[in-house]
Amino acid sequence: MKYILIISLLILLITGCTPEPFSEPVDSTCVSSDPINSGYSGSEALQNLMNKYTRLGLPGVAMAVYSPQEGFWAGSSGYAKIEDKTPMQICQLQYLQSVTKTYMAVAVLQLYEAGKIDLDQSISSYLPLPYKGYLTDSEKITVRMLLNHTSGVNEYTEDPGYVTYLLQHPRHTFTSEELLGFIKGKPLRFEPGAKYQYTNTNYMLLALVVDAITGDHAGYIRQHILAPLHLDNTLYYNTPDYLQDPRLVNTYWDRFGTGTLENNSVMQKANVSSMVGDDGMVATPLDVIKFTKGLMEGKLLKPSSLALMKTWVNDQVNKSTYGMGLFYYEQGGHVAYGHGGAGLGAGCAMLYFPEHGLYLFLATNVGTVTESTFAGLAESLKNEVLEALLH
Amino acid sequence: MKNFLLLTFLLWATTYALAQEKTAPTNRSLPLMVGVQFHSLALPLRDVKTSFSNVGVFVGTELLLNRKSTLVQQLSVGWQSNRSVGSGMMVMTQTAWRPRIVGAFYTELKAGVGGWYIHHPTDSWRPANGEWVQARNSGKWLPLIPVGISVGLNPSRGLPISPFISYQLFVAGHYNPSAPLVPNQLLQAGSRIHF
Repeated sequence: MKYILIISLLILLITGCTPEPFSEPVDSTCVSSDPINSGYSGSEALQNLMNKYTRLGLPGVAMAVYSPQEGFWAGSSGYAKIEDKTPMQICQLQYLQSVTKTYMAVAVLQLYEAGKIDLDQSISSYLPLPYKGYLTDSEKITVRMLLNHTSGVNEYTEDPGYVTYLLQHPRHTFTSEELLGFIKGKPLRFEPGAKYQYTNTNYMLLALVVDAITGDHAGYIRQHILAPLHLDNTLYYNTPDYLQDPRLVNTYWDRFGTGTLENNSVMQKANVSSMVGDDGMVATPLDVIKFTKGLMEGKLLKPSSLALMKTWVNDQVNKSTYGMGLFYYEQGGHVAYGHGGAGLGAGCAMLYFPEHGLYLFLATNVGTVTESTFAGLAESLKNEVLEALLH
Repeated sequence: MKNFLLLTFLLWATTYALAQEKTAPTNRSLPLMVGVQFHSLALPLRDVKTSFSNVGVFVGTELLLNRKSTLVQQLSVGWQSNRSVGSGMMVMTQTAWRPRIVGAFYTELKAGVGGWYIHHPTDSWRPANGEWVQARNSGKWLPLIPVGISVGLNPSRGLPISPFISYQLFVAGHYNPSAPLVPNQLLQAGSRIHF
C-alpha cells in the first residue's frame, strides 16, 4: 500500500511540474470578404504604428476604421499565435470584452421601445427568484440604474473569492448564479441612483433581466442586432462552443508582471464564456465598426432611445462619463462615444467621433485588465492611432 | 485522495500513540523534517479539496529556543507543484509555540516569513528585438508571510520519530501588479526524525 501511495504522489508531483497546455489552434487561412478601401490615405501611417507596437512587444494588433470621405479600412500586425507565428489578420475574431455592454444596452433599449421593459421599474419585478435572492435591496434598483452604472451593486470580479478561484481553476466556466454568489449578502456600495460606479455585475443582471423577458438574451441580440446589420462575423453564444471557432485569436497575459507573456487562451475562453451581458462577444474589427455605424445611424434604435444612450451621468469629479452602454470621452479636444474592453487576454477600444463621422475599433491579444508593460503599450498605441486619425 | 491520505495518517498516528510507553519526550534540536504538502491558491479553508491535486515535498529542521521545548525555530525548503498557478521552490522560517496537550500529542502554532520562486505554469515568451523568444524556466520570487497550526506526536525513547500534520495559510506578495497579495493554503503531513 505504501508503495502505491508513494508512486501516486510522485506521479502527481511530476505531472504537476509539466507545462500546462493553454494554447489553441488558430486558422491562418481565413479571408475577409468585407470590401475595404486599399487606398485609404492614412493606411500607411496606421500600419506603421501597428508594426511599431508589435515590434515593441504587443503580440498582435488588429484595427478597422471608417470615415465618410474614405470608407472602410482595416489592417493588422504581429501574431494571432506567437508559438507557430500565425499572423494576425483582419478576418480573425477579436475579443470585444466589455464592448459587449454596448450591444446589451441596445437590446434593453429595443425592448423598452417595444414596451416590454420599463427603465424605471425595479429589477426585482423582472429577475427570477434564484437571481433576486443574491442581491441586497434589489427592489430599490431600476433597469436604468443598471444601464448607467448608478445601482450601487457590488462588483463580482473584485471579490477575493472570485479572483483566487479564477487563478486556481483557469478552465472553470462560472454560471451566473456562481458569479452572483460572490456578492451575495453584501450591502450595496451606495444608495441606488446616488452616484456612478462602473461594475460588470450591472450588465450581467441586465442579461438576466432580458433572459426573463425574451427567454434568451443572446438569441435576442443575434436576431435583433446582429442579423439586421448582417454582422455574420460576430459571435455571441451562437452555440455552447462558439469560442472554439478557429478564427479566434490566441491570447496572452503577463501573469507575474515581469514582461514575460504566457499563452492563456484556454483560461480566456473559460473566463469570457462565463460572462453574459458584460462580456462574451467576439467579432472581426470591421463587424464592430459596422455595428457602431449602424447604431449611430439609427438602424437599431429610435433617435429618442439613442439620445438616452448618450445621456451622460457624471463621475466622482463631476465630468460626463457614461450613458447607457456608452462612455463619453474627450480626446485632445475631440468628443467621442464608445466603449473600451479589457480582459485577461485581450484589450480593445471602440470609438465614434461625431464631429468627424469617424469610427475606430482597435484590438490586441494581450491582457489589459491587469497592470503590465503590455497594457501600457496598448494604451500608447491607442493614443498614437487617435493622434494620427484626428490630426 | 484527500480522504485516503487523512485516513492513512490518522490510523498511523493513532496506532503509534497507543503503542507509546509513557516516557519523557526526547525532543532535540536539529531533527530532519520531511514530508509531503498539498497546495492551493485559495482563501482560508476554501477549496481545500483542490489542494490534493497539487503535491509538493519539503525538508527542514528546527532549533529548540527554550529548555521546555515549547518554542522552536523551524526552517524548511520545499518544492511545490501547481499546474494552474505555477510550480516552484518555497523556503520558510517560522517560530513555533508548541504547548504539550494530552499524552504524547502536541499542538503547534507558528508564524514566520519566507520566499517562493514560482515558475510560469506554461511556456512563456519575451519580446526581444522585434521577435519572440521563449523564456525558459522564467519565474519570480514572491515574499511569503505564513501562519499555521499543527498537531503531532512527541518522539519517544523507543522510536525517535515525530509525525505531524499541519495546516498553513500564507499570503504571497507581488504575484501580479493588480493582485499584489494572494492567499494560499498548504496542508502538510510529515515527520521529524531525531538522530
